[in-house]
Amino acid sequence: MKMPLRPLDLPILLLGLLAVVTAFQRLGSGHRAGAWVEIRTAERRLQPLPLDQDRVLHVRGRLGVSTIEIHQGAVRFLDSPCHGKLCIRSGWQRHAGDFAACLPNRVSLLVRGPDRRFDSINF
Amino acid sequence: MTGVPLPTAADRRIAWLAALAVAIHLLEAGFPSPLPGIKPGLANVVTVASLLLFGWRTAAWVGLLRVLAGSLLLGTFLSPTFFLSLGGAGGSLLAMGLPALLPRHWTGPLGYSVLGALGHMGAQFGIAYALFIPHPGLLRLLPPFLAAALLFGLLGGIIAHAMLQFLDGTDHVRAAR
Repeated sequence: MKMPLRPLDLPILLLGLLAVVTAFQRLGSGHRAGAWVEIRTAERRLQPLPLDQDRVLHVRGRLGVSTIEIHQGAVRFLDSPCHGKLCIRSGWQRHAGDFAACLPNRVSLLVRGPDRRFDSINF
Repeated sequence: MTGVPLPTAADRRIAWLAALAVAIHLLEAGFPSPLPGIKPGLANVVTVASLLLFGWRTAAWVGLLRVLAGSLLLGTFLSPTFFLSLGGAGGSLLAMGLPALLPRHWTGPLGYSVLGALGHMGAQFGIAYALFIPHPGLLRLLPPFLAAALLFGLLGGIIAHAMLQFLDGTDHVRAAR
């Protein structure tokens, strides 16, 4: 089927495309790289650590020592004295708002960035 | 005889078009959407066709009657859904009203449909944000929703074009114009 375009059709289409692209650029996908990580245990809250400095930490929790690795802007549980090892399987956390926890050992880590992201939106 | 004036030909036309739009509206409401907030909005095809055939006033009647009758039939009259629907139809009609001010042949079904879809989504989003979920997180949904509106606007434009081509051959439309 031939679809004849009127003079204003194409400009309107381009304007719509521009609006969509602008919306994506301005409002983004919601994933912003994290800048630092906050590590907590049942007893204390550690000083926030920057994600751009590689290091391996040993954090004492209820059961024993959890090993946390910071590498190239991401952070993960390397080892933890729990049964399920869910914290380790959570893998690398790199976006602001990302979160991993070893609940049995009461150790958690939260990636933070310049602007806060919501972990979930419900409506 | 005094009392209720008899419906004019224009009234009947609006009623028929609105009935068609309501039918599409109801059918579409019956299909579950994979994403809440996104649906093709095919009822707008009737509004676009009305606008191109009979002008913006007829289109406005058709669009608003569709929202009113559709909500009564679906049982959403005066519910949040109704106000979102009404706002969307209003935004769509306002957006389509701009090129309707210009000479008729400057804009075709594609242009009107895309403008209408984007106006619909924009107004609906504004209302959702202002009245129901005044939360910055809602804005994250705007880009994908706008993209969907653009896509379905295009689709609606193509369908409206096909509908107009079909109608152009009928005596009824030729007589009405």
